[in-house]
Amino acid sequence: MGIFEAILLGVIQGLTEFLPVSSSGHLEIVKVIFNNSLTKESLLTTVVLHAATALSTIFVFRKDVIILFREVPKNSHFLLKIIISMIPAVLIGFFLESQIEAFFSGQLLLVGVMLIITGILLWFSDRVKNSTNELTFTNSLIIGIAQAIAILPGVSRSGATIATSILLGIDKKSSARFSFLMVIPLIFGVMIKKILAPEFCLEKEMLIPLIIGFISAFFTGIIACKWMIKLVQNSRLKYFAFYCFSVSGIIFISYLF
Amino acid sequence: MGFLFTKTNYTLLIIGLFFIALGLILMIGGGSEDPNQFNYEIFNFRRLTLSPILILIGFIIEVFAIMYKKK
Repeated sequence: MGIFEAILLGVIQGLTEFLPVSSSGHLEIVKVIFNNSLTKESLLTTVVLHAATALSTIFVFRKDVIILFREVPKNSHFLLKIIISMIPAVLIGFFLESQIEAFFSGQLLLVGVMLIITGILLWFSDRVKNSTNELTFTNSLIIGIAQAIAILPGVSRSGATIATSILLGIDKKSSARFSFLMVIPLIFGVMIKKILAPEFCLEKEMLIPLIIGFISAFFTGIIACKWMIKLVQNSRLKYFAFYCFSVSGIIFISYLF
Repeated sequence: MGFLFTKTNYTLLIIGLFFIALGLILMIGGGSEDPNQFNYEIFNFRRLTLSPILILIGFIIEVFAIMYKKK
């Protein structure tokens, strides 16, 4: 991996972590287009880039995170809701992740179908006018289930959780806030699990590109996260719905010819 | 408009990055030149325990650096 590729990977990670376009779905598309040759990034690269975007989220929501931890008893209900929302993804991650990866890898048609589902969710969530409900424990679990389903390639994590939350009647700003806060402990949990597993082998030439990729993903992530919050608040998710429909249309057409 | 971070935040950010870089440097190596020969260095303490712990400490320092606010 060269410097340019590292910057590019960082930018892609930064954008797709926050914008509702499904990073795993696009990865499957790229794999098929380039015959798997462009996506041979190592597990260590994936871990470092995900850690960078988790730090971007903490940076954007640092005031919320500080308040949450400074006043734990006052915010215990919100923290508990975050924990509840993590349960479905943790269960899927522990018991089914490798099976899902093996079963859906290279299934481009499935990615197309999932992108349509993501698009429909975004489209309907944009049409919700007054969303004023409170975030309840049941709602947290439902949003958590949406997050677990987003393990499937083609379903955007941010898109699925924010859209589900808005469709449950929770206001748009709180939906975006909850969606990004709920994933922080999950990313760090996965990161610790992966980094302590003896699967890493680092070449000398990879060191500088990894650090540059980390910095690139961190700054792109900050911009994309702030952008996404504005897009949700201003009901601009439909543009991403059009994008998802277009990409799935291209996939279906490519299958026909 | 003032700076978003104080000098302490930036210092902590650099220290965190230093730990991550150090962890990555210690992770280098362990591969085998000859694919038919197994290199036991791939499973040594430096690469398997020390290095990941340093990287994790680096990330924890980065989180602290972002959240640190002088009272």
